This record gives sequence, structure tokens and C-alpha cells, in this order.
Amino acid sequence: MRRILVLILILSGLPALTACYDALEVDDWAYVYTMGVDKGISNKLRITVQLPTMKSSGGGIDGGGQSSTGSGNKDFVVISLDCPTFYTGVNMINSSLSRKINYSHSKYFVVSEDIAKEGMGNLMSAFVRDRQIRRTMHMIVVKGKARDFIKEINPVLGTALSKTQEGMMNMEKVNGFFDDNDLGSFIDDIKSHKIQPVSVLAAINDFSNYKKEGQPTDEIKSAGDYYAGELPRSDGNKTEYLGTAIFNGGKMVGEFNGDETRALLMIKGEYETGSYVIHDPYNSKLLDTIIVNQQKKPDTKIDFKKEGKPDIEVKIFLEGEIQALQSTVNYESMEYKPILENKVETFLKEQIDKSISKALALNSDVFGFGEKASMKFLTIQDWEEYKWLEKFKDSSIKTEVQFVIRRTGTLIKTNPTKDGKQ
Amino acid sequence: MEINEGKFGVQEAVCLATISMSTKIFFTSPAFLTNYVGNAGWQMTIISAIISIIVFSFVYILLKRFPGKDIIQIYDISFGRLIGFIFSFVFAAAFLETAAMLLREFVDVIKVYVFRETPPDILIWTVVIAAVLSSFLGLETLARISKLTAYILLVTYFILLLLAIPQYNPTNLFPFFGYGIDKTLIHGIRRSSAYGEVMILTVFAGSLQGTGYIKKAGFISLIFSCLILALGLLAFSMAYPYETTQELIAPVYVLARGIKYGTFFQRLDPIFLFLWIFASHIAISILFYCAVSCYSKIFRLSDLRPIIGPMAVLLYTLAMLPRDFTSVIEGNVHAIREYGWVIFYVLPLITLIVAAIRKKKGGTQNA
Repeated sequence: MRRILVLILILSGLPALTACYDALEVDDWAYVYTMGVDKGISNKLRITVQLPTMKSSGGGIDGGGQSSTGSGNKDFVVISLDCPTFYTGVNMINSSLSRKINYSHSKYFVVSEDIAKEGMGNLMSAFVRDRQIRRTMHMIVVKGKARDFIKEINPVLGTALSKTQEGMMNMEKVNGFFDDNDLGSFIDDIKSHKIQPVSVLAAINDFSNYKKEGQPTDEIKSAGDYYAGELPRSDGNKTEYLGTAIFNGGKMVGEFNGDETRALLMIKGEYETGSYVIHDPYNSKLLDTIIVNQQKKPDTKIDFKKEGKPDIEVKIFLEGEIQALQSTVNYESMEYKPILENKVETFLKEQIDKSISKALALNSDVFGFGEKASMKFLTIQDWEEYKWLEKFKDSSIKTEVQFVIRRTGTLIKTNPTKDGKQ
Repeated sequence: MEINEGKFGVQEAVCLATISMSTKIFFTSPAFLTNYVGNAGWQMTIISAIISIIVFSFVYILLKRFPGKDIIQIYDISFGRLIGFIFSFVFAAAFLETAAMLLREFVDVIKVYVFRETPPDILIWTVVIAAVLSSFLGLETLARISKLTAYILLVTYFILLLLAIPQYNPTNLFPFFGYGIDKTLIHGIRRSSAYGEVMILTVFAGSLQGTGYIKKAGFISLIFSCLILALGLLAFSMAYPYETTQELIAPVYVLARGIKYGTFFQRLDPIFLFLWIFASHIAISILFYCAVSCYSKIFRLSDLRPIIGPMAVLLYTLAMLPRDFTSVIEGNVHAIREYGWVIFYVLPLITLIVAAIRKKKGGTQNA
């Protein structure tokens, strides 16, 4: 009897070993890499999803297959559809796909500039409710159509699209030209009483700014003077991430170029490193390149004047390294180093003041001064009553930059070049 | 004839009580209390813990008057059979309702995030069967399992909070007093029933080596639970502005999903799931067993096994009663948190007063 009971017990457990009959395996899903939203034409929204076709012969998308959205053996497919809301759109797309769409591994959420300017607070609040949406997705506002932009997201180096997407966003740490705000922070900031949201600004670079022929020029334009899509370059990725979209609530109200974005990051204490070009202090025709790093978080002090207007003081601590000197002045020496440091300090202060003035004009506290200001209040009611975001435009903001050249690169002196006249 | 529930030590008792008390951090409570006190939830829970410690001191005095007796016997001795029965029955029902609501909250939240396609019945029965099996195996086994898993759960929880450090923004803790000290204090007192599960120790009093051990286990578990809950709430307050925390169903899960160190070390939700499911299963099993134990003691049954099955059906039914998730969080769970102290704290305090007035003491149960 005991043996029969044991046998029944063992046999009754067997069905469990077959796993779920209705389980969805990895190849039952269509994983979305990029999601995008445009204004619709035949319906309210036009949504776009970028999916891997899973057709690569070299071990899959991330394993060595050629990536292309051109004709022939495509590795990714970009599908767009006009629909009333994002999720109904996903349902509608599924009527033409044999695999269930899954966006839990999406890296980018791309929104067109015209939607951003119209206001996207409601869209974002509704969007984040779904469990597949991760707050770690990167939020990108694009000039032009989101669909056109997504079609151009294609790895030029390497084959893995997801790695390309992550790598692209890591460039913030390399050049500081954009502020990589993830979806979670963006939504938090939309609803916050302390800070306004920002987003990466991107565009397609059609390489038209790259002049193949023409008169050589002495005009100097710093890398950070450009906005997304404007860099005078040829080849490489057509997608370009440069600058920051500035929001007031859920509405995009302006944009920062590369240098203004660096200033924004410096004020927030999130800037890491980047090369700056400045005119030589003694010969303005010569250009010196300095690597600027943020030494530590800025020291921000906020007070309130009698009329209740905010009085803000920001002290930014930066350090740097000489990367390239066209001048032969011995800036490496104790005598001349302060001259170069002062020049960089003045230049950076101008950039920072310019960004602040722009944000004040847009009445958008993208720097998060409100976060510090809220420390002066004891209760949320007092804080919300003060209406920081309304009063930000009346702030008087003083900035101070402290810059120290810590290292001089691989040289400790620059000797002049000699020609036959000497 | 009394039920022999076995014996266990202070460590096991601490684990039993701590797991039962702190599991609520995984569900909707953080969002709910952020609606009341803003970013000062961590201050509120400390106030709740202090209140609970004070109340538990009185409960200890009560237990000291009746050495070796559990709370059900004490109710009987202090009030007599009828009122004692009512008090004990309310106590048992409170444990069963707490277990049922924790179960329903667990199932609804896990359905939102993970088991979207699984019918709730299957999820509920899985937990109920686990609770039934644990009850059959007995309190001693449950206590030892709690001790075994407590270390793993605690370490996983703190690793999760540590890994989430990049998500923290300390300025989110300001304005420091949230919606005001008065609100924090009032809700701290009202929601002190968040620690009401410490009363399971009074039900299992007979299984501990003496009143001194109960005192030790009670205070330690309350302090541990306060630490777990306060640190969790502090972490959420730092990670998200109060406007966001108010919206989230399960902030801990969102926190785990947000962990990201480079392209490789990210998406740690499965680790969190382990923590979530284990802690919830154990907590529900403990509370269920507690209800079964109370019931058997009320009717002076010599064996609690015959009532485990019917009680499991009751647990399932209670868990299925709320028509939707909104009713669970705004109705039942809210009611337990806001008014649970009346059952868990006021009843033992009334008993202490009555026992003192009526001069009831340990050896007088047959008087």
C-alpha cells in the first residue's frame, strides 16, 4: 500500500515537469528596441517601433549579423502606425505580426519635437503605467519626425543595436554634449514642484553641412556651439545626439546647444569631462585645447529676499589638463599657468551665465535649484504655496567658477618651431 | 488538553515576528502613507514603532502576570469564558483577515508586474497550499524555516537598498517634515498597527521558554522591523519625489528595476522576486497558522490539524472577497492599517487593566 501511495505521489508530480503549456518562449516575442511617437495623420498619434527581424545568419542580431535597414536581408524592421493611444497602437501592430510585441527591453523612447512642444505631460503619465515600461529607458526628443530618426538608428560600428544605443548614451560622460535623462527622471521632473525636466535632443544629420568644396575659413566655431543635426561632418551614424530639450512642465519651451548643455551639467554637478577650445590669452589667432573635468559637486546657496525672490549663488569647481597648445608661451610654468586658468575660468563663466540667462528667460529651472531651495522649507504645504517654479524667473543668480590646471599632458614645455630665418 | 506546538528560541521568534511585520514594505503601504505624510514616511514608521514598543511593554506586564499562558488563555482567565471568547475570536479573525489581505495584495501586485496571464485563483491557492503545509508541519518547523530564510532575505533586502544608491537624491527628503509634524505624529500613532503582528508572540507564548524570552523577542523584532521599514521608506523617499512615490504600487520593485551598473549589471528584478515571494509566503503562513492556533485554543482543541483545511478555505474566500484591487488597498488594507491597533493593542491593554482590577494572576485560571 505504501509503495502504491509513493508511486501515485511521484506520478502526480510528473505533469509539473512539462512546464506551462501556454508559456511564451523567447522566440515567441518581438522585442522592441526603440519606440517613437509622432503626431498622427489619420489618427491622433503615429507610433513607431523598431524590431529585430531575427533573420541574421551569423548568430543573431547581437552575435555578428550585418545590420541594415536598407533593402535586402534586413536585421531590423521599423513599423509605424496611426492610432489613438500608444498601447492600442501596439495591439494594432500585432495584427500584422506573428510574435507578440514586448517592449520591456526597449532602450529609447523617441518623441518628435512637435509633440514635445505641444505638451506631453498626459502622454507620459499614461505611458508609464504599463509594467513593461522601464524607468531606465532613455528619453529622446528629436527634431523632425521620430519615425525618420528611428529608421536611421543603425549600428555603424559593431553589430549589436542595443549596445550601440547604450554606448551612444554613454557619450554624455565623454563629451557632455547632452543630458541623458532617463524616462523615470523625466516623469518625476514633469510632476515635481522643484525642477523642470530636460531630455536629450537629437536629429538626423544629412551631412549637408559638410561642404566638400569652398573657400577655407579662419572662422572658429566650438564643438559645443552646434545643435543636433548641424555638425559639419560626413559619414558615420546619421543620428546625432547634441544638446538638450528644455521643458516647462510637459511642454518643450527651448533648447540648449552643446556648450549650454555642458554648463547645465556643471551646475547640476553631473558633468564629467570634455575638451574645450579657447583663444590663446596672448595671441587670439592661436587656439588652445583644455580638457575640463568637474572636480566636485557645486556649492549652491539659496536665500530669499524680503520680497520672497530667490537669491542664488553657485560656486563651480573644475579642474583640467592641457590637451594641446598652439602657443609657445610656457603655460606649464607657475608664472603663466594662472593666466591660462583665468582665461578658461572667464570663458566657462560666460557659458554658464549664458545658459542661466536662457533658462531664466524660459522660466524653466532645469538646474534643480528648487531641490536646494526646498531645504529651506519645513513642510510640503509651505513649499508648494511658495510656487518655486513660478518664481524661478525672478531669481538673481550669481556664479563663480574655480578652475585649476592640474596636469599638462605629456609635455612640460613647448619650444618654438624654428625656420631658416632664425 | 493543550496543543503541543513545540519549543523554539528567541532567534526563531524574532524571525517569525520580523518577517510578519516587515513584509508590507513590498506592497502599497509606502505609497499610501506618502499620501498622508509626504516624504516623512520613515519618520512616521519610527513613531509607529515607538508606540508599538510602549504598547508591547504593557503586553509584557500582562504576560508576566500569567507566566506560561498565551493571550487566549489570558483573555479567558481575565474576562471569563464569554467575553474571553469574544476577545479571542476577534483576535483570531484579525490574524486571518491580515493574512488574507496580505495574500490578496501580494497576488494582485505580482499579477500586475510578473504573472500577468496566470489566473489569480492559481496564485492564491499556491500560497494557501504553502500555508496549509506549513501549518501541518507545525509551528516549530515554521519558526526554523523563518530563521533559515530570514538571514537570506535580510541580506538580499539590504543589498538591494545599497545597489539602488545611485538612484537616491537626498534633496528629495526635503521639506523635511513632509506634510507637517502633526500629520506625521497622528498617522504614526494611527498606523502603529503596522507592527501589530508582533502580537503573534503572545499567541505562541507557550512555545517560548518564558516571559523574559517573549519580552526579548518582542523588543528585538520590533526594533528590527522598524529598521527594515524605516530604511526602506527612507530609500523610497530619496529615490523618488513624493509626487512619484504616491503613485507607485510597489516602490521596492520599481527600485529593483532601476538598478543599473553599466550595460551588463542591470535588470535585477528576478532577485527581488525571490525576496518578495519568499517573504510573502512565510508571512502569510505565519499569520495563517496564528489564526488556526488561536481558533484551536479558543475551542480548547487538542489537535489543530482538522481545522487547517476549513481555515484554508476561509483564507481563500476572504482573499477573494474584495471585488477589485482598489477595494483591497482603499478598503481592507487601509482599514487594517488604520484601525488594526484597536484589536492588536487596545484589547490586550483592556485585559491588563481588567486583570489588575480583578486581581487575576497566573495560577488563578480555574478560580
